[in-house]
Amino acid sequence: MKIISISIVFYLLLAGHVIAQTEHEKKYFEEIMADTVKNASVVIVKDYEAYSIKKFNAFDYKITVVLRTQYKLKDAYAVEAFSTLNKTNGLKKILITQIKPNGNIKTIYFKEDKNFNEDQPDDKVKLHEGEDELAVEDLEIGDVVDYRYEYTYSTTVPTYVTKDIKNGRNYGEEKIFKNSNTYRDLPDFLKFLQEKYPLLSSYSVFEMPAELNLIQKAINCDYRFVESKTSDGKLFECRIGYVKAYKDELFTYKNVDLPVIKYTLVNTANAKMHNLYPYQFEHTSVTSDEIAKFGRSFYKDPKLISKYLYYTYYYKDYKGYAYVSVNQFMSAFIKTFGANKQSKLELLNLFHDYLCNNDELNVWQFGKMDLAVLMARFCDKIKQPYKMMAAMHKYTGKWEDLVYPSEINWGLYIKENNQEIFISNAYTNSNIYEKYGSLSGTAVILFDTKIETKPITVIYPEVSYGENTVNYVSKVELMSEKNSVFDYHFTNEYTFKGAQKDNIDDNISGNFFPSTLYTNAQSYGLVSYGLYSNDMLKDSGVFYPELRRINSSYQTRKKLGKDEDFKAFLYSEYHFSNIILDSFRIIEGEDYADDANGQCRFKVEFNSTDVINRTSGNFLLLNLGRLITEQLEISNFNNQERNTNFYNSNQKAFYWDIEVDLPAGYKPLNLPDFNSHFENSAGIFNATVTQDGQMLKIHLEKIYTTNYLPKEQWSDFTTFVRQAVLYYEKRLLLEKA
Amino acid sequence: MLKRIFQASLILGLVACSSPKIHIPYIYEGRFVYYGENEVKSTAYSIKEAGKLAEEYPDESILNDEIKITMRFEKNDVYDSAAFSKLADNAKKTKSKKDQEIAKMEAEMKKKTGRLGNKELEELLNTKDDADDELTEFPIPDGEIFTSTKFEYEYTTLKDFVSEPFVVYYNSMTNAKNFSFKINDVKVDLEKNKEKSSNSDYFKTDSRNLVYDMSLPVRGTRVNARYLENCRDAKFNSQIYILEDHQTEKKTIKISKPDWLDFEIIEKNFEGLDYKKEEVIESNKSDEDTESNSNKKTSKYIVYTFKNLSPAQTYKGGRGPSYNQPLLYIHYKSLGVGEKQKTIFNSTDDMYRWYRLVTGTLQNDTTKFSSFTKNLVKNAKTDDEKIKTVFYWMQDNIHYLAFEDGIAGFRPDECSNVFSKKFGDCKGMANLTKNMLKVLGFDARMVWIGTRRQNFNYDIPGLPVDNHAICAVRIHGKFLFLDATETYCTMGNYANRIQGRRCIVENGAAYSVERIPEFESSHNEEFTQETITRIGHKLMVDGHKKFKGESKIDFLRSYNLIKTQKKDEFLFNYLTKERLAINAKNIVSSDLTNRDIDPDIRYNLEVDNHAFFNGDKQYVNLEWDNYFSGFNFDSIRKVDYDFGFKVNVHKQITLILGAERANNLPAPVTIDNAYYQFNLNIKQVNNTLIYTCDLITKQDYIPASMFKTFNADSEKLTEFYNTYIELN
Repeated sequence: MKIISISIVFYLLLAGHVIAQTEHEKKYFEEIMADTVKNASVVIVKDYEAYSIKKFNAFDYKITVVLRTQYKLKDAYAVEAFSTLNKTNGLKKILITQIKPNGNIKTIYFKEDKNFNEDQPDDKVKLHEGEDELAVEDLEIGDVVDYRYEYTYSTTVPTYVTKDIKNGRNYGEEKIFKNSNTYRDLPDFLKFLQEKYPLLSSYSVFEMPAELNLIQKAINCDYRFVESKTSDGKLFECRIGYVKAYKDELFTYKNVDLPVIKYTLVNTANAKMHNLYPYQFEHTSVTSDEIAKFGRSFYKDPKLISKYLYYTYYYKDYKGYAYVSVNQFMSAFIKTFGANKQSKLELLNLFHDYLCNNDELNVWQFGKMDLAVLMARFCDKIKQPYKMMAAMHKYTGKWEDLVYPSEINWGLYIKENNQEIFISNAYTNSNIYEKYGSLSGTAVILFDTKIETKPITVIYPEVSYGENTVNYVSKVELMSEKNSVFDYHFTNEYTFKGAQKDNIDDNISGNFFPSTLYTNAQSYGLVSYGLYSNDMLKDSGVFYPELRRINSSYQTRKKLGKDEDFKAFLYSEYHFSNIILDSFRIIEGEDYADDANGQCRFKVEFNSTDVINRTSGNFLLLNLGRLITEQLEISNFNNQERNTNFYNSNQKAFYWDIEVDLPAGYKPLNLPDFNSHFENSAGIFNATVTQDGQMLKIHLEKIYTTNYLPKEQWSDFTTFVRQAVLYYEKRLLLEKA
Repeated sequence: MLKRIFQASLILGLVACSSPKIHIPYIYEGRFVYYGENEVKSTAYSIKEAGKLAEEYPDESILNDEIKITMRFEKNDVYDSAAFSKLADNAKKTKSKKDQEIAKMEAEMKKKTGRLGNKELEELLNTKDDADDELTEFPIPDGEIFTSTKFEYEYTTLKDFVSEPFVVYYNSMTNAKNFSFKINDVKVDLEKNKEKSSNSDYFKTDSRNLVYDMSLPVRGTRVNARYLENCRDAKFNSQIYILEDHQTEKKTIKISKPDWLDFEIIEKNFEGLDYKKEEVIESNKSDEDTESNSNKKTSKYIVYTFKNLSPAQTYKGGRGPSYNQPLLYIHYKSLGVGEKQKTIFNSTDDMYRWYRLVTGTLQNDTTKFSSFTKNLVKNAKTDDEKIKTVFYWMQDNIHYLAFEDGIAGFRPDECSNVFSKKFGDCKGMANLTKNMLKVLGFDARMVWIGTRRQNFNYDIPGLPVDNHAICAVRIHGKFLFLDATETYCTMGNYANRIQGRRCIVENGAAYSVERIPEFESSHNEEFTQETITRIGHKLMVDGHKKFKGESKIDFLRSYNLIKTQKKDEFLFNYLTKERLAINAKNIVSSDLTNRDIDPDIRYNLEVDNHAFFNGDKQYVNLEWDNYFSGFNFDSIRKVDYDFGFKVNVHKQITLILGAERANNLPAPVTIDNAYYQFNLNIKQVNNTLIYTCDLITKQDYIPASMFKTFNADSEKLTEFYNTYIELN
């Protein structure tokens, strides 16, 4: 076994700055890399990551990280792009240098934070980009710009302010709250080998005490870390050669098709240490038995998952918190809602919604595991039978490539009255009944939480396009005509279901909401998020009367904000030059739909004079294609080659039923062009248009029928989506009869 | 809705439990706004009144009730024109001393490689970083006259939840202080931030904004804000723009008129304003906001009072604020009386004198690049070739980056610095161009010029007249102008922004005023020739494009600044307009890195959705560029529109026919006025349809007065472009 002493540290004068470099760094950066890459603006000559892990106190580690990347500038674009940089800070040392082709090195920027706190956790270390900029002097094609970042962090759990919670509540100026049971993490990595620019070489090195280990999986490549012993521990090194640049493509699962190395550090010291580092597998190729045991351990150990939930409220210019125990919270929840609910599942769904929609309620320490365990305990409380579920989304990867627990999508499985429910998501708008295409056809592991039965593996049901639909019903009525300007009134009703609903719900609750207004109002305590509601204002006698008016004004502004945002949405959909919004109304599912058939429906009415364009002679042009609104477009240029297979998490379907009036005395000349029947391995695009007097009726369907196509069939997909784009561009020529 | 019910009912549910209890803070008891410890209340009356005003001004969130600006002058009794050179020396010494210290320490460190670090070196480097955070303009000394301007704002919010910061601009010549804010008559402390005033990629100004965050949730809130702005040189304070961001009921601008200062106030773009101008004499009283040391009992003021000012328009594509925005331009002529009178900017002579003063301290040491320059032109046979070589080298190798512009943008960086840094602003680049040419023995000069964005000229001298610097070289008995900031500009060609502009050309103690040549629209021709055949529903295009003048510069600059790996995609997207209905093939271009060749691109297109059949008739549409289509200027817009340059589009499209004839050729479009000329025509010539499209703008802009006409003409173009020709 090769024994390397890695304790030697060289203090080098790097471009005038004293930088401590390990032998690894020094040697790696002394190597000469031949650059034979053509047709690239920039190449990454060297990419270096080094983690030096040292024991710290009884149960913790201090981790020093050096990240260094050298970019070679090869054209005018690159010189332009690298010619200025923002001054950065927030790390222990930042050094940016410039290496001329003759080997001369000049400092561009150096910043050392002498007060850098090495005891803080990783997520508190932030690279801040300042507003002040620097111009890089004497920058030319052929120069190499070398970024070196260095910082140290600790697995130490920070000391949080804890206050008296005897009464189940607490108020104060506390800035951070975390559950009293906090656990250590060791870093895990998902390293995509392809970068924005071609990579000539990369080198990763981990130096660690003997009780730690590095476990890994290489996907679509042969690169792996090689272990060696050192005088006081272990060393893992990975050298990577030339990797071509990443090409941004739609509909890809990067970690399924592209070269990836997944690796993580694990603590194998002893049982006590293991308890402090609970969220880890100690090896790869984890069996379903081990997964079940792992999930069960989190359910069974009351210390691991939240003991307390907390509320946030705003008072003057600070936040306040009120804590309640999980048990008390569940009791209060059941008491508040249980009486009106007919089934346990509905109550469970409400609880799920509450957890997913009130992000101020909790800090998830173990991601979906927290959700799964809290839901399981709630099921216990309401006596709802269930199994705990471990699943892996198709885009995450395959079970055999599992390296760390956060890759698992934890959830619950309930079978009742022949209905199978897979509860796995915590999206804002999700509910317990919904199925997810990215799990369809995958193997999921189900296990009991209380008894140690053998886990079973079932196949997550297929999700068809019929479950993820959008229906557009659009009535386009000609209201008036003056000087060949035709004023049309649109009455559109949209219905979204399944995964399609999730997309539009995000828009309705996010983009269509004046967040600035919300934030300002909140910061003054005028509308406290947690307490604000018309009902409360109505029921309470203590409020100053003017607050009612402000409340009403707030609601009006909120609606106006939504209207304005929706108008912008309509412009982007139709690309008309003028749109006058009449009304916009959410009919169903404003915040989220909460039952098995949950859907989102809204109705919009508006006018536009851009449906018909004037042209010369006795003709008019009707923008008939645009009535289906803008379609997914993949440019002809990008159509030409494909590096990865096609993946689509959800099959989905769009249906349109459009009625549009023709101007009196005009007849269409190219109506048959608006009939279409297209079907291939990627999808279906059908359109039928009929004329009923002066009204045209169009029925269209655009269906994404597959979740997967091999990259050789990429053109099937582009040909399919192209049908709708060409349709959208089509214009109907009308001739005066 | 469910979410809200959740929140409300869960809280109520929990409150109903004995434990835990949720606290409901008592924030609703009439306290609206907190600024630090200050609590601000609104009254029912003010809220009601604001409601009425909101109906009167439905688009406004704020109404400026009254704004007062009072500007006073003060003589700088210790003014010393030699201060320029003293300051320059000091700055140089300071920088040099620091550089020497760093170099010395670095040398020491090199000897000690392998040892622990040197604290002093690191500290010194860190000090350097901190110093860089300050305004970095080259120091400009105090001028002959100081100004002190008091700003007083009184405004009311017309809507709830108004969040608009109070922003004050400052730079190395001006500072702002004595800020005071009252909200509903309560004095408040606001949070102050400093921000950069420009985020442009190329123009890194040293100017800053002081930003006072102000969020006013209740309508009818009255704000009083005041501050004092001091300027170290009145020459830098010669424009007062009249309009504000919001509707203004009353605005008063008072400018003191001391006996010892001769200036004229020029009113620009005042048409349609409701105002009066008067001269008043006021007794001097102690004013904490002024720093006047006048001993006189009375002062004379010129007072402008404006009423009902509409908000300033912020349309994109304007020619520059001085073309349309009302402003007072103060022309400082002279200082003192009788024999002691000294001119300030009485004439262009004074401007040149000032430019000489500012640039007089330049060393212009050419040692660093002398041999480089001679080597650079070693293969050039003629003087023209030598000049061209230097000019193109400057464009290609010196990156335009204005880090030291801002208000004091008149003194160039040393040419040796620009040469070694490889970046500079216009002045620095002009100075390096000049000195490289001088090394080669040419008569090269600095030139100060105002771009077309500046609606000022030398008839009324002042610092706003010139905002740019270029180089001129005397060759073949005349000046050739070289603007190295204009990449891909050929020698003898001039960017539209300087065409036709007068400029000051240095000549030792003297100078000359020259005019940059101006080109006609044809100089910028974009020529397209296409032959179209039909295969079913598809149009097959065999095309050819050429670019000249500004259209060429635009095209080459865009192409050459694209990533190497994206250049093919750039040409593809340019030709297809990124439309899926158009596919491009067989793209062949001339050498697009050579600016001496007019770009020439040959290509084939396949076009969908522009032809269809109806029985035995085919309908064909020949237009997919749609130049100038869809323009619809807002009827209330008063800001002229800038095209960027004089556009000249010439298209010649030939559709090959078989035995068919065209049944419905559109009537030609012929439009000709003082600003543009559009000619569109389709005619049948033997077995072809010939479509010609000539679109010429005679000026590089269109005035607001022409918008209505232009909208109608744009509609005519659209109608023509939409034509489907019936063939059978």
